[in-house]
Amino acid sequence: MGSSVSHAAAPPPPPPSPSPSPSSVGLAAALPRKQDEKAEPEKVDWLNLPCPIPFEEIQREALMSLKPELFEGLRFDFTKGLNQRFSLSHSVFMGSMEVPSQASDTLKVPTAHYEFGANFLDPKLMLVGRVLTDGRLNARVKSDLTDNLTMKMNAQLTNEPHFSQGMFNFDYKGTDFRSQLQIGNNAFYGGNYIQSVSPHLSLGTEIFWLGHQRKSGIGFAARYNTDNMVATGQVASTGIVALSYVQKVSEKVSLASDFMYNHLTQDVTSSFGYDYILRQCRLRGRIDSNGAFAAFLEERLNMGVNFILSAEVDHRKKDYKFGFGMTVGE
Amino acid sequence: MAKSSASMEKLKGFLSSQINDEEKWALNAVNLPLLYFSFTHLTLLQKLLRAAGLFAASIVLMRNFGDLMAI
Repeated sequence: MGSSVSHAAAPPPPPPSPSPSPSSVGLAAALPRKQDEKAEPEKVDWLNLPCPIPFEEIQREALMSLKPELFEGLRFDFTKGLNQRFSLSHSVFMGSMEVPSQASDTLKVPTAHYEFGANFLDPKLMLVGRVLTDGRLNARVKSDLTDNLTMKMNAQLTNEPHFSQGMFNFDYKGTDFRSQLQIGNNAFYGGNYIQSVSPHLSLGTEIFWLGHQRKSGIGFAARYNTDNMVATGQVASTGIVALSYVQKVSEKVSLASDFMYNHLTQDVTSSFGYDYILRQCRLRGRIDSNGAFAAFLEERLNMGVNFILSAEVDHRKKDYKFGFGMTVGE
Repeated sequence: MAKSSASMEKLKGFLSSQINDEEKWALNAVNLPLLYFSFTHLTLLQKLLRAAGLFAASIVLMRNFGDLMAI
């Protein structure tokens, strides 16, 4: 008790100094006790480990910093809240979109579309719908059936036959684990499980089965996080190895690096990036092992008005993408 | 100055002998595209080493010098 009072009043003592200052002599009895307390490691309550983050979000910090939504062209988003739970959104996009083609190079297709969206957000129910002028419909439902059980549904419907997709997810959250069951169209069945094994380490596994193509796969993931860093690793039988490392340098600055190896396409890429979250703007930039670099800036001009700049340059492929846009509303 | 001008003359003479001679040109012209190809089209091992090197070096830099980027 007396030691805590003396800690509040006393200046920090110099570490092992042969002649301690006169002001700290009177505290010599208390100070060694504080240093002993610091040397003891915190005891781990193995029966009370924290709940891990969901398996599909295991690399979320790295994805948020290294994979911003880069675009080429003009983008304008307007969100209008009608009441506390219901809002409408209007989005216009004019520019080029990349379409994966048979050859290794991607194909750029000039596109222009308008997207109308409606969102209903309730603490236990979330409904999001988007319809585009090219005939696509996206729908998402998230419902908390109980405190621990959540049901999610995603659907993407298109005019083109055999291109529509739908997926149901059932998530169960335990005290120190999470599990998920996925059922999708084309006879897709999947599941994943992630368990905290220590206060900082969680291990997970996933498995999937594609009925129509008679393909299955299994994967393993690990995540180690402390207050300042997050390191993750994922390996899948589909021939993918993905590693990531994020260092939280300060409250406003994060540095991230990731490594991805795909055995099927014989492709390996690594990137290093930064993420500055400031009061008036958010700036993200990265450079990757193929020599391409990108940057994404979101500047808050006013309350609810953001100006966006996006750039991606690849001198080797002679691919230059620049975009600008504005978002209005929360 | 005299030495550098003499060496420049030697270099010019060497280059013109390589370019203007038909046989030498055929030899060099075959090698040049191959050399360019080897720089632009890396093997998988080279790509792997480059990516792994960038990943490892960036982690070392982040852990040791990351504080320099803080604001």
